[in-house]
Amino acid sequence: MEFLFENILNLIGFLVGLTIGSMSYIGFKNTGSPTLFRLSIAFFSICVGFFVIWTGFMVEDFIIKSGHIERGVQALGIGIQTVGYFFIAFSHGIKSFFPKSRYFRSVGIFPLFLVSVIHIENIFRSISFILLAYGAIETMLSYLESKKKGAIFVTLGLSLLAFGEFIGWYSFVFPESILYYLSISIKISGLISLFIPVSRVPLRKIKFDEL
Amino acid sequence: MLKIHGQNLLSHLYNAKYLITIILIMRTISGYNMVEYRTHMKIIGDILTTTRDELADDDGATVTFLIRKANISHVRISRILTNLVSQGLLEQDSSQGACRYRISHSGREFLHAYQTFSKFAENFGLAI
Repeated sequence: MEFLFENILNLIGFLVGLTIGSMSYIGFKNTGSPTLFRLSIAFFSICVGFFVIWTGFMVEDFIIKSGHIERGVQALGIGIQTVGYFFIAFSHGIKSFFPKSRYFRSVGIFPLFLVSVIHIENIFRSISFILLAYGAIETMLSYLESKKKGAIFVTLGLSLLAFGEFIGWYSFVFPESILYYLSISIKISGLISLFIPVSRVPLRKIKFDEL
Repeated sequence: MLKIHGQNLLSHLYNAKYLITIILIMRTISGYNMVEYRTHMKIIGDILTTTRDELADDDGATVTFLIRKANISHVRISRILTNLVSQGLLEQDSSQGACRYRISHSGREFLHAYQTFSKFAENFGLAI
């Protein structure tokens, strides 16, 4: 059951990330917009992150058969997803949050070398939660200014992903409980919600009248 | 009461306030001194839209007309117009004494892509 749920989540995450990332990249190639470039990095990272975890589950199920996914692979996948969530938040101007000093930046990555893989996974999950919540708040504020309906779905999607990460934390404390399945179901709903407004963008080639 | 790592569930939820504080600090710092500026891309979009939609005839738009519609300085618009002409998005006509600008076929295609992907980015609360 866990394997099936994880497969569904990771495949949906992979497909949604790939679709939105490709659309952003097409937009970047057509307009040269740095915002679309950041969005394409964000969603390609999310796509790769989900793919890494999916691959981990497949390798475990068909080759290793140990009964649980390699923690390092899971941490790697979640870390790559976190990079994607960072770029979504970064697009909203999060860059001013980080210290300008090179010293503080270098000190900031030290904790990653001092903790175990499980700790790293938890750190990535907590960072993901903060970045997703930040992205959801900023998107909601944009909706209040622009009143674009698509922004509601993206806000809902990011909020559900953040909530899913939050519940996922607690599923570590209560393994084998319903929290784990709840977390995955919420994340799947979040990914679908993210995809809804994007699916409405027409990407067909339009012929123009001759001048 | 349910206990996790020696603390009850309520106190764990209470700790969520630290996360919310971090988010609010991020929001405050990034939003500090925030003024709504038009992006370079938005200005180009405004110029191209003006040359496509707001001209009464096919003679093209003068620089003065574009300055008024796009609401930017002469120095800045001159640089942008030179750039747009060199990239083939605008056509320049100097035959009637003053320079006039018309949108080209590639300019129309670019403008269409710009408008489509503007809507796409707006879904994420962003401007391109």
